[in-house]
Amino acid sequence: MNKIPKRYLMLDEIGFVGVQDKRPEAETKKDQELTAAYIKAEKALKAEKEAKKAAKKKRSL
Amino acid sequence: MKGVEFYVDAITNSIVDVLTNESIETDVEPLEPCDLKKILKRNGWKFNWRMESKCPDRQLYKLLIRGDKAIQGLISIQVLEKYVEMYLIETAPHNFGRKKKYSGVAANMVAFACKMSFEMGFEGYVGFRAKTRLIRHYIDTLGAELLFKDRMQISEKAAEKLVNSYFKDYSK
Repeated sequence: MNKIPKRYLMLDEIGFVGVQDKRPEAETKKDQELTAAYIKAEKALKAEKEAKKAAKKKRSL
Repeated sequence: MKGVEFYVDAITNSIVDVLTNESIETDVEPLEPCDLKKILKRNGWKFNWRMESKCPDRQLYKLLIRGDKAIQGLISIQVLEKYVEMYLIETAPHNFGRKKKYSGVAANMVAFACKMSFEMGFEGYVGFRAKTRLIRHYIDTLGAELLFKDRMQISEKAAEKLVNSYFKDYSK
């Protein structure tokens, strides 16, 4: 079994993750859509960087 | 937004016995309606899991020690279009605080969500809402990032570290 890093065990001090409340569903949905947009943008940026790196490598060959 | 359908029978991972420091094999299984009778605030649980179970599209799982029916932790997730939304995680009352029986339960369940994200083709991305005072804690412990307001994400690298720590020989 892999050794579990100590920092992960520190989560036990709190014992939970997340928030349980009665926010309107529309508000939650809006936040989730925005999160998805952030993730999409981050992935696009990452892909662009990798493409540039690959092109640079190809040129140097 | 409708979640993608998926099924998980059992996933092998582990938690640590605080007294013996022994690694204990665990399984993650879907929460059953009969479990809700035991998961009550008067038994020490913080969240209202009955209310959570009524939310459409959310999937609830329990962490069990192999061969034992006692619940060690719970997680509520939903597979969205680009990532896995993690609504709630809670360790069982006997695994919380200084006198806890098993350690590593909460992170184990986060790793489960990340693994699910990899399996769904989301590169490990997991999103969640955090209590404001705990944002720093999640950054330090999980390697999570603050996106906006109280919204946080676990991106590919942090997810990979978590999954590698908890799931032996897992390859994407």
